Order: sequence, then structure tokens, then C-alpha cells
Amino acid sequence: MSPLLAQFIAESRDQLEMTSAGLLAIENNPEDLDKLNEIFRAVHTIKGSSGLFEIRPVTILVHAAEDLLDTLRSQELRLDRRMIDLLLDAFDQVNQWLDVLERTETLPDEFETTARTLSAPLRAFLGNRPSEEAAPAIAAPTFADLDWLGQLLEDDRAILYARLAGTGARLTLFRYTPDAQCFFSGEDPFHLVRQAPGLELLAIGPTEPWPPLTEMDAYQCLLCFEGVASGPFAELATLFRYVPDQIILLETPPEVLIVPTGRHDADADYTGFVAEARSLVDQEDWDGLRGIVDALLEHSEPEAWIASALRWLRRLLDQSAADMTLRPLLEAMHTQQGPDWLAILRASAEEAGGPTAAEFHASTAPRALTVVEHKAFQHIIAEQSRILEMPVAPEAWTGRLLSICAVIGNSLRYAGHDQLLEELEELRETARETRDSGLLRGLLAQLAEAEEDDRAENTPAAATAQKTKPTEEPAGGEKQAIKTLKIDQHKVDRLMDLIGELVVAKNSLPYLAQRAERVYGNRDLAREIKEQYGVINRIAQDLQSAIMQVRMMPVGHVFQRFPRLVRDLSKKLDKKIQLIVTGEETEADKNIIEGLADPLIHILRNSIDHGIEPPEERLLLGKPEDGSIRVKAYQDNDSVAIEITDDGRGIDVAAVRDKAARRGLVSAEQAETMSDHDAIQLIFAPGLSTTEQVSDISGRGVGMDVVRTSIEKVGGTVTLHSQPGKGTDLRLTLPLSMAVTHVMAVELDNKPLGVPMDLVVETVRLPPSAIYSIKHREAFMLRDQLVPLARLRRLLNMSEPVASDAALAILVVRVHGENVGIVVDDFREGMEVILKPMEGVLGSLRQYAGTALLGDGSVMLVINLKELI
Amino acid sequence: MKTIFLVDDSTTMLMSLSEVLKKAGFQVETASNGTDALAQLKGGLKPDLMITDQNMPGLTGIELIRETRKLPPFRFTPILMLTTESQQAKRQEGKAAGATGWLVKPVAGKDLLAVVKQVLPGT
Amino acid sequence: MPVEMMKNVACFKGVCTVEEAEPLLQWLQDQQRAKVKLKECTHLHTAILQVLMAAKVMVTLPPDDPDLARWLMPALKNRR
Repeated sequence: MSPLLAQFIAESRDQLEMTSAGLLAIENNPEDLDKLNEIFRAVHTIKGSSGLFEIRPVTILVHAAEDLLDTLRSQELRLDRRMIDLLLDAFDQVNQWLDVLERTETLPDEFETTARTLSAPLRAFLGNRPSEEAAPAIAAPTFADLDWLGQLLEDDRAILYARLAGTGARLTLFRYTPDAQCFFSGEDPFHLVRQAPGLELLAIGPTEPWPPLTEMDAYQCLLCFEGVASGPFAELATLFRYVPDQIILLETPPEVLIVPTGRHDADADYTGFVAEARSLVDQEDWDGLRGIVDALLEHSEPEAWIASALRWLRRLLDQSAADMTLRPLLEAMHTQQGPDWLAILRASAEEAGGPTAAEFHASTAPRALTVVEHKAFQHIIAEQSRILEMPVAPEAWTGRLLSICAVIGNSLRYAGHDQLLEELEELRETARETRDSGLLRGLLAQLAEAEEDDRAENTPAAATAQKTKPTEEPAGGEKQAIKTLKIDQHKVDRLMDLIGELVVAKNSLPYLAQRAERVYGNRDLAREIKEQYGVINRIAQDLQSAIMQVRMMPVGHVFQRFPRLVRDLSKKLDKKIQLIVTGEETEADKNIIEGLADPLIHILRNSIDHGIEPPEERLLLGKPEDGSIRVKAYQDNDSVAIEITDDGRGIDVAAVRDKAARRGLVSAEQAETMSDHDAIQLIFAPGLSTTEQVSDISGRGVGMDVVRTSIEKVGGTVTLHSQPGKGTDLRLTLPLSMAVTHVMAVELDNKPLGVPMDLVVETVRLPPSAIYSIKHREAFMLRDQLVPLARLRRLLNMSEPVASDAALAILVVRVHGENVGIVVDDFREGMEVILKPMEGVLGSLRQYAGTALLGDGSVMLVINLKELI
Repeated sequence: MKTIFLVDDSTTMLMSLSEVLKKAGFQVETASNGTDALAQLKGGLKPDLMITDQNMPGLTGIELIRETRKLPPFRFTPILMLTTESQQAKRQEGKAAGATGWLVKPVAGKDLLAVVKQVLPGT
Repeated sequence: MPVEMMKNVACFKGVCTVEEAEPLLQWLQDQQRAKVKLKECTHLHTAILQVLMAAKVMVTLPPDDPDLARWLMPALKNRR
């Protein structure tokens, strides 16, 4: 199934569910207009989207429901119980159709009948309400005269006329006077005009004399566009449909181009010439006419109006034009005015008998047709249907469609089928847009039939009742379960908690087995418990990974924002940067992905702002002009790795050393002696920004320390490599899921305390004599390395036990990239727990990462070593 | 590459329109309601064209257009309104609020591209 | 920037947008003999068109784009 259809089905189900619940709610509280609006919108959305697919039954039925809801929300009608019943029935039906649609990806045509029968009672409430909001009629503006054509160059007009004369082609004249404020509606009139299909001639001029440049307002449109196009009239009308009040369009024969122009000679009298020419026309003596035209032309000033008229006569003669065109031109020479093509066109149209076809009158109430009328009705429908199927020239197609629909509309009104008018209109528009009248023909066929049905049964009510029953599913086709569920995240979280507790609880079974054997001496029972434990363990693990799958989402979700960011910033900084993203499909837990967004964006910004050099600098360095930033995600065992690599200038180690020393983060000596790699890591220290100038892209005090903190918050780590001049490479490693945490339990004051396992390096036991005291600090040697020592009791402000010679239990952990030994009372086992963050008042206790529930029901605190040390 | 900003509360509609536009080589940004759309516009999104649905929860399309025109960077930006066949009066109201034009749902792919070409020079 | 304004010559490139009409108008207000080069221009917004027409500028290089040149040049030449 196409993802679009799947989305439509899922979304419509949501909307229907909301609609049904809403209808039940307003049944009890009909005054709740907000609810009603919400329902209307939901139904409106389904109708709007349904048009994207070939699912007419859904569209028809939902449209009827939408119309009824619209009258309810505008309070033209009052809601009653029967309406709610009918609406609920209709939506139940739509729901069933969605199931069919999901299975077969199509709806059978027969469903349209059901849709109509279910719509009828809904529409019945509407009565003869005019079809929604009709647009206020705007009287189509017309030309007062066509003299303006004279401003177009005579030669241009002559060439166009020569091309079109006698071919039957028509021209469209237009005058477009854009609104003075039109630029503030996003319009560009010149651009619009340039797209006119078959634009042939164009004159652009100001609507009033130009103001002095110093007083001009560039954003008040002062222009007017007048022109001639040879493309289809309908296409021009479509092009200018958004500005109906600013456009004049007129379809004409090409003869209108024949407009003599030039200086008028008031004294001249051409009566004699005109009379002679007229008689030559009567005799069809074209050579004779050509002779006198040439003779007079020779004696006329070329700029004179009369010369222009003569040249047009000459052209008409050369094209052996009909005398119908010659005569108006000769008449015009009498007065040196015109010809008035507008009047001539109007006269010839009246002569031909205008298309004022007799109209049927609308009847307000449905009425029964007499037998004769019924026959006539059917005849009309059949006839229109036949015409619709006949071949026709493409440019006449739309016109024919409109006139056919007008006839059918009138017939429907006469026969009292007003409720079908809107549907007719809809089909007409569909046909017009798709240039396919198939659906319309379908309606006509049904109309002819339906009329017969009604008459044969003569009990329309019974027939309707029968048909109104929702179409049952074909037997055997079991209703399929809904495939997509939207679930509140909290419910998933709750499930996750429970599974976590199950994982922990099952861990008590091995103890139980041990007790059965040791305390009660029942080895068989112990074995059985262990077996059961194996089964439960497997199920628990499957359950855990299943629910984790629910929360998984691709990291690409966060990456989506990158191309835009890179594009915008590089543009702003005049840098050229290629972003290469791979592994978007790698999945991780939703919370982790969401926690990643900000740090990643910060890292990218750093690369763009500080890393990648400007193009000129790169070229000087012999690097490719375009810098590159690679973002790569992949799964690495139990974690997700994300690498961000750029080929920029790398981190300026000297600057970092210098600044770290000046800020007192390290001593001057330390800064000198530490390795480059270690020095670079200092950029993660709070309050260290490497560029002197805080830029508005990545400055603002948020440094890499924030990046590291937020990555660590979701249990991840950051590593950084940088080579001066070559680039920087950041690697983030994140757990796949935050659900289960491995902890190492240690004992302190007879209570267990958890330490995150990923920090634990090893456990050692050493005699107290192995501890060195250096000033106030303690340390010990571990494989030739001096490791600092801390005592957990001191860190947590607990009293020290009495000194003894017993071996010390030391947990070696790695914190902030350094090994530290921690003295605890004793070690316990490693375990999987569900870590719950401290909440409420305890939330501020930063030395604890959270609490975990243990198998025996007790609560264990998990410490946050990074805060403690 | 030109950026087109789609605003519609229906994911189906957003999907279908962006599919067509992306195929035609446009960059597409989306918002599912008027408030989010305004926030994105104020947050630095600078589309070459905005297409908004009329019927949405919260801000309607016309209200969104009116608010958008108040923001200086968008005073000249072409804006199209998505309407249904029956909302003819709404189109006039939309024009008055500053819309450049409208599209009638359901929008066929080629019609959409034709109108985009019509209002976006250089496409 | 599709419209580049230099000392007394403005150079138009590609699609010149409505935003550039106002700076262009201000530039023209300070120029006695402004010239424009439209060679690489493919479209200019109506607002720019009317500013050029009102200022009666001299076009030294017409657009290479034949369609634009056909409709634009007569409008700019009508005034001297």
C-alpha cells in the first residue's frame, strides 16, 4: 500500500474516532459550539483528503455529513437526536469502508449507491439551502472600446494578422490593471503576464503620469498591461483567476487588429475614394481596387492615418480577405475613425441569435413528474449523456461540459432533485480539472435508472430504508485489526517500568532455588525453580526487547534538521560546505534521540563557524574549496555511535592551553607539559570558548561542556580528536536504550549502594599499608601507576569505621577520563536495575543518580560518581 | 533551491503535497497548525512560498495570512490558500487578507506545480 | 545580490526580486546618467520594471533571454 493511503486511513480513523466521541458529547450538551467546530473540522479534513484517492463513496457520504454539520455550527439548524443517529451511522459506514480500503486498496463502485442512500436523509435536513457560500458575483468588466490596440506597432499587428487570418483562430485581448497594493499580496503582475499562453503583443504603460523619481513609491503598482494572446481563452481566464476584478478579457476574431493609426488630416475628404472602392468591391474587381489604393497611398504621408488605413486595405487584398472585413475599413475611412470592431462583433452576434436557451424554472418543493414529463426527463438525460461521449475539439471541451451540466442542472431542478445539484457541480469541477467525464457519465446513468426505480416501486421510503443499512462485509472476510495505534508515551513508559520490575523480580528466583537447596535441603525443588527461572528469564528478555522496539526511532529524525542548518549558516558566513549524512536509519531509544538534538546542533555549528575555513583560505591551503562535514551513525554492539568529522582547521591547541591556563583551569606548568590530545580535551571544561571573538553563530556562552553534560545525562560518552589543519573528529557513543542500567552494588554501612557499571574498571583488595598519603591526599599503586584514592564514607559525610588491618575493598572507576580508587565497605554483585531519577525535593541531591527497586522489594540508591568526585 | 512552506493540520495532505513538491525539486518545510507556522517564520524560516490550509484548529488560514503579512520579511512573499470547492467566499476574504491565490482541494499534482510556477518567478 | 549597483551602472542578474526595487530607486534618485546592464537578467519584478521605466534609464546591454527582451525592451525604449 502506498504510504499516503496508509496515512490517510490511519488519520481518518483517528478523526472518526474523535468525531464519534464528540457527537456523543454534544448529544448531552448541544450548546458546546467548540466541540461542534472540532467535529466539523475533523470531517472536513477527511473529505479534503479523500479527494486524493479514487474513493468516491467516502467523499460523497462525508461531504453530506460535513454540510449538515456546517449548518449546525452556524446554528441555522438545531441539533436533534435523529441527526446524531444518522451521522453516527454514516461514520460507522465510512469506518467499514476504510477497512475494505486497507485490505484491497480500492472501493467497489457499488458502494456509491450506499453512499447516496445514506447521504439522502442527511441532505434532507438541509432542504433547499443554497449551496454554501456562493461567491459574491463580480460583474465581469468589459472594454469600452478597442482603440487601445492602436498603440501596438502596426507592423507587429500586421504580422500576427497575416498568420491568423482565415485560419479560424481566435485571439484573446486583455487589459490587466493590477491593484496598487498588489505587491503586498505576493503578486508580480509582469511575471503573470509573461506566462500568458500564446502571448503575442504587449504594451506596458503607467496608469497615470510618472511622479518625479524623488516622490515615487516603488511598492505602489502604477503599471497597466494591455495585450493580445493567441492561447485558449479558458487558459487565460485560468491564469488571471486570482485577479478577476483587475482583468478584462475578450475573445475576438483576429480582425480587431485592423486599427489604422496616425495623424488625422481634418481637411481631407475621401468620400470619392470610398465610393469608388465600394463599387469595385461590389464587382469583386480586386485588381482595380488594388490600383486605386496604391495610387492614393503614393500621395499620402506615411505617418498619416489615411496611409495606415490604406496599408491595411492593401494587406487585406494581398490575403484575399473577404469583403466582410474590407467594408468596415472603407466605412471607417469616411470619418477617419474606427473601425469600431466592438460594435460590429456585437451586431453579428445578435444576428446569429444569442444562446439564450429557454431555462426551466426551479421548483421549490420536490414534485412527482407526470409520465410524459418523466419520459422527457429521461430523454434529456440520455441525450446529454450521448453528447458527452461524442468526440470534440479539445478547446471546445470545457465549454461543452459546462453547457451540458447547465441543462442537466435545470432538469434536476424541474424534477425536484435539488439535493443532487451540488453533487453535479462537484462532478463538473472534477471533470473540468481532470478532463475526464467518466464520473459524470456514471451519475447520468444512475439518474436514468433511479428514476425508473422510484416509479416502479412507488414506495421510496421503503426502498431507502432497505438501502440505508450499512453494507455488511462479505462473509468470510474477517474484520482486520487496526494496524496503527497512537499511544500516549506515558503508557509505554509505564509498561517499561513494569517490565523493568519483572526483570528485577525474576532475579530473586535463583536465591529462592539456593534457599530451597541449602535451607530446606530440597534439591529437586531447587532444580525445578531454576528451570522455571530459565523460562521466565527468556520471556522477560523477549518482552523487554519488544517494548524497547516500540520506543525505538531512527536517528535520522534528528538529522533532518541538519541540511537546512548547514545551508543557512554557510550562506551567512560565505562558506562552502558539503554535508554528508549516513546511517540515518540507525535506531535508538526515543528519549536518547531527543536528548541528542541540541548537542548535535551545537557541534555542527562549531564545525561550520570555527572549523571549516572560508573558501579563499582553503584554496590557499591546497584544500578543496568546499569543506565537508560528515555525520555518520551506526550501531556498535549495545550502543549507537555517531561521528561528526570535518576537514577544517582543527582545534588550535596552543590557544586552548593558553586560555585554560589564564582561566585557571590548569596550572601554567600543566598547560605546558600535557600532551596535545589531553590539552584538546580541555575544551570540554566549563567556561572555555576557543575563539576570541564570540560570534553570533556558536558563541553565547554555551560551550562544549554543555554538550558533554547532555550526552552524559543520557548515559553516553564523547571522545574528541583533532589535527591542526586537517580537521576535527567527534565521536558520541550512546546506549541503545536507557531502560535498564547495569550497576555494581557495593556495601556501605550494611546497605547496598549502586555504582553505574560502565564506570567500573576493576575491583581490588589492598592492605591499608599499601595506601600512600601525599599531603592531604591518598593514593595507591596499581600496575606501576599512581591512582588517587577517595573514601566513599567521607564523600557521603558518613563516619569512618575504626581503623583495622583488614584489607580495604577498592573499586577502581574511571571518571572524567581518569582512574580513581574508591574505598567501600564491601563489594556485592553486579545487577540490572531500572533507574528512576530522584524526584521532588530529592531531585536536587546531585550526588545520587536515582533509585532502583531490588528483587526483595527494598530500594537501593545509585550514586552519581561524576558529581561526587 | 526554492523553499516551500506547507501548513495543514492533516498529515495526509502534508504528505501528498510535499511528495509532489519534493519530486519537482523544491525544499519543503511543514507545520501542522498556524501557531507553529508563525513560530517557525519568526524563528528564521524564510520560505519563497507558503501554502496554508484554511480550516485548522487554532489560527485559521486567513488569520495566519494576516499575521504573516505583519512580519516585514514576508510582506511580499507569495501565499496560497488551500480551500474546498464550497468556500468561494473564503477565497475573497483570503485575497483581502493578503493571499496571492488559492488552490482547490483535492489538489492534482500538475495543478499544484502549475500554480507554484505561476506565483514563483524563476521556477 | 541579483542587482549590483556600482558608480553609475547597475548590473542585473537572474531573477531580480521585489525587495530590490527600493534600493534601486534610491540609487537612481542620486544618479544623473544611470545605465543598466540586463544581459544576465531572466526576470525582473514589476516593482523594478516600473522604477526603471519612471527613471527613463538607458539600457546598455539588453537581456540575453529572448522572451524577457521581447516584452521588456519596448517598454524601456518608449521613453527617452
